[in-house]
Amino acid sequence: MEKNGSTHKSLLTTALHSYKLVEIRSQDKKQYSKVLKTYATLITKAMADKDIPTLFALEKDAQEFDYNVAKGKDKRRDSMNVLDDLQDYWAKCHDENFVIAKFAKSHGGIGKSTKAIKDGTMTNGIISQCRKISIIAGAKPNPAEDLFYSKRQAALRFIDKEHNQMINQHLGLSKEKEMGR
Amino acid sequence: MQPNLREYTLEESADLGFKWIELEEAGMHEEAELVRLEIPLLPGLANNLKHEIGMQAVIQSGINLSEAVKEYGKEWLNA
Repeated sequence: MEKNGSTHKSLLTTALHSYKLVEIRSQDKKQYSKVLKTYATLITKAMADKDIPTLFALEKDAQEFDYNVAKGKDKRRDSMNVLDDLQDYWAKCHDENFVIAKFAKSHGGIGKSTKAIKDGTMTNGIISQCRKISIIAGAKPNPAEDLFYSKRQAALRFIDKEHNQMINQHLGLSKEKEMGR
Repeated sequence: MQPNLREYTLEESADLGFKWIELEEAGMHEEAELVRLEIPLLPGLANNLKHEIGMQAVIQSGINLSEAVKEYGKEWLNA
């Protein structure tokens, strides 16, 4: 169904159109919920496929939706820049030499870890993104909104988990290796 | 190919979205796709798409860019 990454963008566009009309036309409330649930399904599928680039793309576009919903209430553009930085960082960390050099430098004074580590650059960035989603979701989201926002947070935590696994593999600190010792 | 800049009201745009989903659910994927392309994409999302696949591919996809052009101006199509 996905055409050049534009199908899920059409979904979010439809969600926003429905959102804007919810107070005027009754059918839009149902449609709005339906579209958000469909979007959550796309996230679930990308998680099942461990498709991190798609998860980043879905979140980036979802933040554009947030920006339109919350216009004037929140500095969403800042958040989008952070997400781009996290994606760039994730891509850089595919290079084993980059990861080894980065952690050799930051762990220089305290010695090399012997146990699996957490990469604060990614983890703290993800925590901050999840917090922003909670703020935008507000105190009383409807069930479809709740699913939409909580699934996005789950996807970000999934990215963090996969990223940390990759880092630890590069550093020779993966759990599989520890168990084999 | 000329960019799709057909303009719709908010209600018409929402109705296009409903029709697209209905047709998809009915298994009429080709008809659904024609309707989907008429939904004016949110400007920010159109801009994300431009960064992902390039302006030429966006125009060739036939997706409606009227809202994006309203927001960013016609030069956005060339930049």
